[in-house]
Amino acid sequence: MTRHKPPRGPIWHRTALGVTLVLFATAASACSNSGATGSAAASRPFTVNWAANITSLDPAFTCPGDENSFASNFYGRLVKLSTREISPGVTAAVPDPSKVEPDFATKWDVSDGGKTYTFTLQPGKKFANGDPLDAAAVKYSIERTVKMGACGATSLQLGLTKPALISSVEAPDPTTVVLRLTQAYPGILYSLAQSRGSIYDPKEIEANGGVQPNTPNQWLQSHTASSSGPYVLAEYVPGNHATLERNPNYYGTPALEPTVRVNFTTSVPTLQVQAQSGEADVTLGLPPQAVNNLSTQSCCKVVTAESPTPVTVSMNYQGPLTDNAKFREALTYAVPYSDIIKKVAYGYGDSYYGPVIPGMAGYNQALEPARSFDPGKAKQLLAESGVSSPTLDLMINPTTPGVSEIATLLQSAWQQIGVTVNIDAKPPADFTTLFNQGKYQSALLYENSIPIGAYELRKKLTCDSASNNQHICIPGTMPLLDQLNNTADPAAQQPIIDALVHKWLENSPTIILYRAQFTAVVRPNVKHFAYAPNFRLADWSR
Amino acid sequence: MVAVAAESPIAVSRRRIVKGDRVLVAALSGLAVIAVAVVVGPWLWHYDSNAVDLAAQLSPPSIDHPLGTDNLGRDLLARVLLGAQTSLGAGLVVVLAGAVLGSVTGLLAGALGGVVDSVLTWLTNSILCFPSIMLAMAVVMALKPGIPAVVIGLSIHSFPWYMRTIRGEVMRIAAQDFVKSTNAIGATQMRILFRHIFPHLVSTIVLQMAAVFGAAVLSLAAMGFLGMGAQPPTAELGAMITEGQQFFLTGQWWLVAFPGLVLLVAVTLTTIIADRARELLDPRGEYIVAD
Repeated sequence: MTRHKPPRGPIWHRTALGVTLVLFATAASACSNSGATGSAAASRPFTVNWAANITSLDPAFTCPGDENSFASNFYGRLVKLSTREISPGVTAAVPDPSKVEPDFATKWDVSDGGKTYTFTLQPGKKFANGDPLDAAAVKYSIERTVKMGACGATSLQLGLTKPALISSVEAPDPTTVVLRLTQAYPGILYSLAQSRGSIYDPKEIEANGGVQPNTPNQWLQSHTASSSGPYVLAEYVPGNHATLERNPNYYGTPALEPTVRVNFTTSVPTLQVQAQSGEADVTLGLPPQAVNNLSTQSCCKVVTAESPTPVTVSMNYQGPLTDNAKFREALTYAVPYSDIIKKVAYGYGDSYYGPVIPGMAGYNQALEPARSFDPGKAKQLLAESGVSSPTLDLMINPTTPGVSEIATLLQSAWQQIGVTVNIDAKPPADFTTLFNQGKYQSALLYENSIPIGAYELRKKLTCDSASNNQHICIPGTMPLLDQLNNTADPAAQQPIIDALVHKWLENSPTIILYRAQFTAVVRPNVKHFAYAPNFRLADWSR
Repeated sequence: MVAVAAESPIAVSRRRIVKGDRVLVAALSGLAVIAVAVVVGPWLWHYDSNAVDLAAQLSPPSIDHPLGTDNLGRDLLARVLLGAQTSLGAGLVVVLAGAVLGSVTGLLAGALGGVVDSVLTWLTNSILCFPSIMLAMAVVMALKPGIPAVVIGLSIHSFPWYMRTIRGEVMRIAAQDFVKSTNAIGATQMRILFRHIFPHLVSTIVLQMAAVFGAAVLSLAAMGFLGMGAQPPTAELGAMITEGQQFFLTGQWWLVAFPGLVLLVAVTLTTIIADRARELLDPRGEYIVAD
C-alpha cells in the first residue's frame, strides 16, 4: 500500500525562516539608516516628521493645536507675534498682545475708546493663484470664521461670543479694513496673529462649498483656499505626508526653504529611527523619554520652549464626589509632582498651581506656587471632606503618549490615601466628545491653552458656558468676570485676575500635574528654528 | 528516519502514537508549563504586578527582578505572568464561546436546512466579510475599550468558522446509512443529532479550537497594541509590547522582548499541537512520527 506523507507542518522551519527574515530586514534597515549621509540629507527637501493626526486644514473650523499649526502655514494674517531669541538660531514667539507686529497690515489705528481697529494693508498683493489679496478678502475671512461658529469663532473672539466681540468688518477700499468690536479688547490682536486670523481666497471657498453656519466645509478638510501665506500645499496625502512649496506671491519675507516635506506618523520607533539616521531635519511630537534619549546622541539636538500646555486632571465640579471641594483639594496634595516631572516628563516640564499658566499675560507668580506632595495633609483633608472609601473614575485617551503612565501613577498614589481610581480609557473621539460635553467625573489630559489669562479664566469660570466643561460655578466670580470683560487695560485687569485666581485656588477644581515644555528634535545642521503656538515652518531651515 | 505508525483510528493506537511523537510531546509539555506558570505564578511570585516603584524604573534583568522592570518600576516577571494569564485566558474564552455558538448554529443549519440554513449561512458569510480586527474594533467602539469587548468581538468573528465546518460535516454524516437507519427505526431528530451525529464532530471542533486559539491570542495582542484591548494598569502581553516599543530603541529591550517571547512561544506551541492533532485525528489514519 502506498502511504502518503501528509504535509508535516514544518513549523520550526517556517519559524526559523521568519525569524531569519526579520533579523535580516532589521539589519538591512539599520545599515541603510546608518548610511544616510549628510549629502543624501542635503539632496532631499527639508523634512519634518510630525506625530500628528491631521484631519482638517481649515483653521476656522478645527480645534486641535496640531491642525491649526499645520494649516496656518498656508495663510497670511494681519499681524504677527513678536519673537525673541532663546538660543543661537532659535527664536520663540512672545505671547503678549501688546507686542504684536505688522504683517499683512503695515499699520493700524485704534479709535472709539479701543473698540475700532483700522488696518492699512500692503497694496497690490495676490494669493498664490493670482487672485487679489486685499481688504475684501480679509473681511470675507473674518466674517466667515465668525459665521461658522466653530472653534475658530470662539478663539478669534477670545471666548467673548455672547455677545460676539466682533460686531462688524468693513472694507472701504482695497487697502483698508475696519474692525469694530462690541467692547474694547486689546487681546484681539493676539488672536488675529494666530491661525484663526487666516486670510482665505473668497473665490476658492465660494467655488467649493461656500460658508455654512455651524457646518464644516468638507473641501477645506483636505485642500487650502489658495495661499496667502509663505507656502502653498503642493501635495497632500491625508495621514501620510504633505509637500509644501514656497509661495512666489507671498507678501512677506520668503520662506527660508523652497520645499518642505512633512511626514505624519505616530509611530514612536519610526520617528526615533529616522531622527537618529538623519532622515528628518525636525521631529515633532516625540514623547519625553525618546526626546531625552536623543538629546544625548550626536545625531540630534533638542530645542525646548515654554508652551501653554499644562497636563491636568480636570474634575467635574458638579459630579458625584468631585463636587466636594475638600476632596478635590485632598487629591492635589497626593500627587508626586516631582516624580512625575522627573520620571515621566524626563525634566521637560515645570510645576505651578493655578488657572493662569506661567508666562501668560496675567500670571502672578506669588499667587500660584506649586503644591507639594504631602500625603499626610491629603489624608487630613480627605477626612475633613466626609467621604468614605471613595472611588473615582479617571477618564483618559490612552493613545496620547504618557497618559496611561501618569494615570497608573496617580492610581497608585491615590490608593495610598484611600482613594480607589478606575482608569476609564476611551477612544479618542469619545474622549473629546465626553470631555467637551462635560460628561465625566475626572479626566486626565494635555490642555492646549491660549496664553492670555483673562481668556482662560473666562473660559473656565463662566457659569453655564459651553466652554466651561468642568461646570465650575463659584459664587462671586460672575461679577468679577463681567468686570474683567469690560476692562481693556492689562494693568487694570490684573487685580481682577488675581481675585479670580484666589477663587479658583480656594476651590481646587483642577489638578495641575505639570506644564509640559515644547520639545523638537532637530539635526545639528538646522540653522534656524522658531517656536510659536502655531508652528511657522517658513522660519525653519538648515 | 521516519517511521509510520500502525494504521488505526483506535484510541489505544493514538495514545501510543502521541507518546512517540517527540515534537507533539514537547509542544504539549511546553504549553502545560506555560499554563501552570500563568495560573500559579502570580500567586507565588512575591511582587505585585501593579506596584509602582519609580526608584527602580527601567532596571535591567537582575536577581531581584529576573525580567527587569518597566517604566514605572513595576516588576516585569509579575506582569508577564499576569499578562500571559490575561492573554491566554481571554484566548480560551474566545475559543470556547466560538465553539459553543458555532456548534449550535452549525448543527441547526446542517440538520434543518431550508430557510434556517440559508439565514445562518448568509449571516456567517456577512460576518466573515470583516477582518477579525475590524470587527473587534467595531465592538470596542460600540462598548468600551477593554478585554471583554475584544473577547466579544473576536468570539463573534470566530463562530462562523466553526459553523461552516460543522454544517458541512453534519450534512455529510446525515447522508450516511447509519443515520438513515436510525431515522427509519423512529428516532427523533434531536436524538439523531446529539446522540449519533454530534460525537462524530468532536474531533473537528477540537481541531478548529486549536486553530482559533492562536489567532485569537494574536488578535487580542494586536488590539492591545492598538490601545483598544487591556486598559491600564491591566497586564496583557499585546499592551505590554505597545508600552515597551518606545523603549526598545533606547536600550530597554526587556520591555518588549519578554512579553513578545511568551506570546511567540505560546502561539507556536498551540500551532504545532493543532498541526499534529490534525494529522492524528485524520480519519484516513495516516500519521508520521519522527524517530
